[in-house]
Amino acid sequence: MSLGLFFLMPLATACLLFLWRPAATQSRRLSLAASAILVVWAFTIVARCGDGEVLVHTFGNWAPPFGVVFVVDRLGALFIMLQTLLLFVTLVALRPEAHGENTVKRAHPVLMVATFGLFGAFMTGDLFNLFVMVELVLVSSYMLIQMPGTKRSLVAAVPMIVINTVASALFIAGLGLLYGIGGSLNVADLIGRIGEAPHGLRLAALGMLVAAFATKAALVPLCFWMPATYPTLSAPVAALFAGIMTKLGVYALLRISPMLAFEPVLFNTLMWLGGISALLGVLAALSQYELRRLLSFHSVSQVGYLVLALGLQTVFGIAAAIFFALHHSLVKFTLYLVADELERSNNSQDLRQMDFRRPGKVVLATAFGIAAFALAGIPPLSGFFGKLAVFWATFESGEWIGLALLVIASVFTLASMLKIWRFAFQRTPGERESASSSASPFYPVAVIMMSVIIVVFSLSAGPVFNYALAAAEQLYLVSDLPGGGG
Amino acid sequence: MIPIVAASVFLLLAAGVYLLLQKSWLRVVIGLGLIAHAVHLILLSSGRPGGLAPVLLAGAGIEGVTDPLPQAFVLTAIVIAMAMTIYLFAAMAELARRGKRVDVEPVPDGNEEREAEKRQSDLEAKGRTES
Repeated sequence: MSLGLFFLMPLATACLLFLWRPAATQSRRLSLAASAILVVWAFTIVARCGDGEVLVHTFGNWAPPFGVVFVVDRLGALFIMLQTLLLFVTLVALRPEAHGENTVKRAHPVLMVATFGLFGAFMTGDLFNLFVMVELVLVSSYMLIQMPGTKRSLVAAVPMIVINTVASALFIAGLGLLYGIGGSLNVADLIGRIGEAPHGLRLAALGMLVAAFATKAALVPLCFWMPATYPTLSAPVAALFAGIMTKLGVYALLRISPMLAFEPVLFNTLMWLGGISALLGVLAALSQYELRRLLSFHSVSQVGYLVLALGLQTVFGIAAAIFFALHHSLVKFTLYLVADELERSNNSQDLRQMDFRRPGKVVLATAFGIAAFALAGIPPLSGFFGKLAVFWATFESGEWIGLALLVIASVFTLASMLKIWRFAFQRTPGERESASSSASPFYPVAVIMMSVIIVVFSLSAGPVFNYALAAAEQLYLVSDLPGGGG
Repeated sequence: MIPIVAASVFLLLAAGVYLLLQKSWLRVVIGLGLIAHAVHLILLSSGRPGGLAPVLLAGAGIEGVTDPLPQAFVLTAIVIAMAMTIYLFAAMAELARRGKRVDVEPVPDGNEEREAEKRQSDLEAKGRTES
């Protein structure tokens, strides 16, 4: 029961905000309070799932695999917690005085609806509900992108909308074929049913699902909607998107990975796509001067790492992917928040026009340093453990070319972080006529919070990795899930 | 039944992809709608269409009855596709208010846009001084 309440809480908050339409400060207070409760609640869910318990909520008491069932296991709980945490920090960072009264006021309810959709996607036990929830998240993200109402924001959403709608069409077509061969869309139930299905149909069905999820996760040939869209969003919202939206695709891939085991060729495809994304993404990032575009190409590269680990088809690889997803969400989110501060103080997103002289420099530079080192994988920060796990999994599977791609990409990652550092932080005063005398004030709370979270996460890398390992093992124990083994 | 469905899916998809590749946004949106309907037909056909109506009568078995679940799925999917299309039309109308043609065009980067805005405000200032 409590799971249903948890799921409905963001929606209830969104409805309240839509109907009541409070001023920006009150709206901010209300959403902060709601998300703070969600964070605490999500931590209790993780604590319960950490012991191996599987939380189940059946709607209308239909016995699984019939009816709608919500299942939260270790993996789902982890992503739910990540979302509540990022939502809270986003709400802290989204200030009326910095981002405009109207932007903030309008963003709150839509952010809550997006959270509702993400919760649903991370909880649902069947693929059709996953589709519905993903659509909910997508519509709220279109609204958030087009909210400023400038021509640029309206045009920028077009590639994302068109590409994601086509991906959703692929998703439905895959679901149709899968239902045709399996007679069920409950994930745990399906895994038991498609074993004897005809090979060609199964490959087509799962292939379409993989293509759809790879688009949402922004892997290389399907990624170009992302760098086009993120630079026009309001910065903290872009941070939330960068943190969690691509992870939605990765989560869906993780969820269906036990099914993909029937068609190993799809795993190999994912592995190669991951390796190529890792390298091409970082090369594209290196050539950019617009800060957020650079960071979003980076996301392509980093998602490549974890999809490669996922494609190795080992439990250790999947655990590495889960750990890396967590690490990348936190770090990329922080980098976007730093980018937000840089953009507002310089009144530009272009690195070449940045000139860094203002209060708060030391705090911001430290936060950027922590996040950038974590991303590049310098010990003792989380990126080091994430990359170590991914490299080790690749090494164990004997995928030498994949390993080489990742190592090369790693070097370029460091180079691109140094590029941001050089342009944004290290320019000597007087090199450019400063226009930042009217610099907006610095709001360090969110950035400091995230830096602390990254450090704590890095220090507790061991227990978190054990949790990820347990989650990866649980992912394959489908007979424990409702509807499985029946 | 299946060959007819397959032919319809083919026609809808072909028309949808053709429209998707056009320049005008109106055509793109209609193309997306056609593609959505093509895949809805695929989903619908997974329930063995053309059988008996899924009504459980006393004494009759479930032999030869169409599976009703995909129909429920498709109903949901159609509603979502409709909502999405309406949203896209609204966004298109908003764009149309700002210019004569609504075409798919490259996304301007931040600096270009700022320059365009500056030009616009310069023009307006000029217009004011002249009048």
